[in-house]
Amino acid sequence: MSNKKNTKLNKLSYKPIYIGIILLTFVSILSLKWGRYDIDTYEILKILKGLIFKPDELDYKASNVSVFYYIRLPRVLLAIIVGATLGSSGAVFQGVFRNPMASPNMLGVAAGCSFGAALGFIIDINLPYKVQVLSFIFGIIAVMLVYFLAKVSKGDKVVMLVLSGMVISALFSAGLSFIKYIADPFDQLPAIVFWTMGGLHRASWKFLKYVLIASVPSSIILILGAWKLNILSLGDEEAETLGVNVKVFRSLLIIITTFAIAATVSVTGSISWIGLIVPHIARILGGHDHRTVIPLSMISGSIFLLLMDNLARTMTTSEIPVGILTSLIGAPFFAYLLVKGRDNAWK
Amino acid sequence: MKKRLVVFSLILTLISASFVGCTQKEVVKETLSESVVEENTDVKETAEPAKRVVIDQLGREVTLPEEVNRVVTTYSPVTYYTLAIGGQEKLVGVNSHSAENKFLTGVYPEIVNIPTVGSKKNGHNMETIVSINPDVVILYDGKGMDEMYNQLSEQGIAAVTIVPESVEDMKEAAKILGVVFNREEQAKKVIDAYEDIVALIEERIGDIPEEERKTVYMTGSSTLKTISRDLYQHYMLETVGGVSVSKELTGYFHQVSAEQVVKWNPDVIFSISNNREGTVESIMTDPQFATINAIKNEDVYKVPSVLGAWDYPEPRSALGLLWMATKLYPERFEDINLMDKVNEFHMDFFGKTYEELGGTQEELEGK
Repeated sequence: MSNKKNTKLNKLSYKPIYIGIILLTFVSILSLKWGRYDIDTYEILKILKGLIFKPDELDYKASNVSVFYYIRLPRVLLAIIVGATLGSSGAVFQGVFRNPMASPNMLGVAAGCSFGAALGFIIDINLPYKVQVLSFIFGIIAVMLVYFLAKVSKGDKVVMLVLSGMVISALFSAGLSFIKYIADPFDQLPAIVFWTMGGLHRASWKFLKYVLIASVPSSIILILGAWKLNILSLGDEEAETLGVNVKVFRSLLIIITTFAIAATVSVTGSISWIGLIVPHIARILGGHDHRTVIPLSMISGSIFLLLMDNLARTMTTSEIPVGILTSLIGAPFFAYLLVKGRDNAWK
Repeated sequence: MKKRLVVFSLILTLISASFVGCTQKEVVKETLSESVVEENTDVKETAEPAKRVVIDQLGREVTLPEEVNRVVTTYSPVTYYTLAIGGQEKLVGVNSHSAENKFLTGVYPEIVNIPTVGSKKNGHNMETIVSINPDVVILYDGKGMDEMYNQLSEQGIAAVTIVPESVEDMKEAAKILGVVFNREEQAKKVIDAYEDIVALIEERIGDIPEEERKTVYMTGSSTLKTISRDLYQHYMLETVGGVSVSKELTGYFHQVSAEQVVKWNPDVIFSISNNREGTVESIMTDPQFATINAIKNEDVYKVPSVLGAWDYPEPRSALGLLWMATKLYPERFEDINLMDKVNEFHMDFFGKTYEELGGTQEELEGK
């Protein structure tokens, strides 16, 4: 990999990544301290030490330990993983489709996931995790449909992609509305509405494991495959002449990211905005090489979602939907970066 | 050439048809306003049919036809009230999903043959309602209802709005429906039954000092959603001597974090019936809640019932109150057989016992 350093790409700088990791560690520790239920810092350090060195000797029935271990820790970890997944997937979608406006939601995965989950609530089949499984399957179907529709359409591929995304999203949204229409209003409907709202309040070790299984392998593949994404983003023809099997690699990336996104969305519902802006932030911070864009997107996604979720769960007695905060604070912040930053990848 | 002619004549027909439509509508409007004026002067002169003018819960004065035989209901609480006061025979249009409602079909099997007119969520079909030719349409206070009121008025159909969102308003709603259906006595019985149960509870729990009252966490449509102090459910808790842990919240239902629930540490948890995922078992076994008093004391209950939620502002919420009181302070209600009371209530107002309709003892246990 290192012999590719001196192509026409800029020289890589890993400094922002190191700083990012340190910052993420700091924010994570801060997040573990924040919460509606007061646990003092000394107590938290004691529990952490216990969890790391002698997990069997901890008294999980004690309130402090119980709140920390069963509620706060999984939530903080889930925020980190979901933020990282949304961030890196956004970066991949933008790279693969060479479109700064591409985000996982725009290509229909969220609409497909929501439809699948709603379907899972109303159909009576004996399938473990049927909501999650159907959510995942329909997320993939949606992205595939968008991709193939754009492919067979005549005209500029980027425009066609955006339009196909709109078409397929509209189709699945209509399907979702139809399911809501036929759903039992007292039983199934509240469950569907609740699910589609999005948020991290469902964090538990059970869901965390499920998301981890999907996210960790995909993250590793994305980091390792980032240099190929650089070539892919040059354009199909140039990538082919450089020896990359564009079709196979593109499909692979879409499948991997869709898989990871579908897994997170099926637990958290769709959280808007992160997949779109975080890659841009990463590019402003560390340049346009996907070898830094991908890890930086993960780190900034995690930090951003962690901070927003901390506000969501601690600001008031009730929870503020995290999607509102990511948009409300994310949009002005993004605008600031556009004005002050040096993002010129999409000239 | 011929083709063009056909198109032209078609357009001509359409235009003329639309003109005819307009003029007809205007004529109807005119006669309508005339008749309203006439009736009004009638009322003034004789001052006799005051009974047939009802003031609805939005403060509108609605003139009812002399005899009401055809009534349309637009959402389920109205339909429940109608059944409770015995007005079902006059129903000619009901809200959607009524035919799938086990309770409604159990009490009044003929309801499956009554045309449905739409629902609160998906809107109502105005043309269906008009085509049924009702005497009165009962509306609720919500989105699109003002337009519907105006449209119905234009058609000369009386539209009465009820808003049963607090205790007083519930009684008022029953009273108004009693007038509409000409079943005032039965409506009074519904109100009395409610007041009797409230009085019984007050008598049993009134002497419990504030600091000894149990704290309660009540869910919304999911376990981590809870009620605000503005909701009817909050009033219910207050009535049965419970202290809602979320009483500082205002508005509708609120999403809260598990941490907040642990911090509140309620003595009792009530999971409402449309909280699908929140079974007693799922709450009891959730490690996140393990340190809460309600879990330690096994005081987690599911609010009945499969036949319709008892925490909704409708007649059966009287039973919801009694049920909650027996769960919070069982030692004070030892002499009361809940099932007998519930059966009796259903028999009085719905003509069949709770068990006949498909209710079970297990549900009353709330486990």
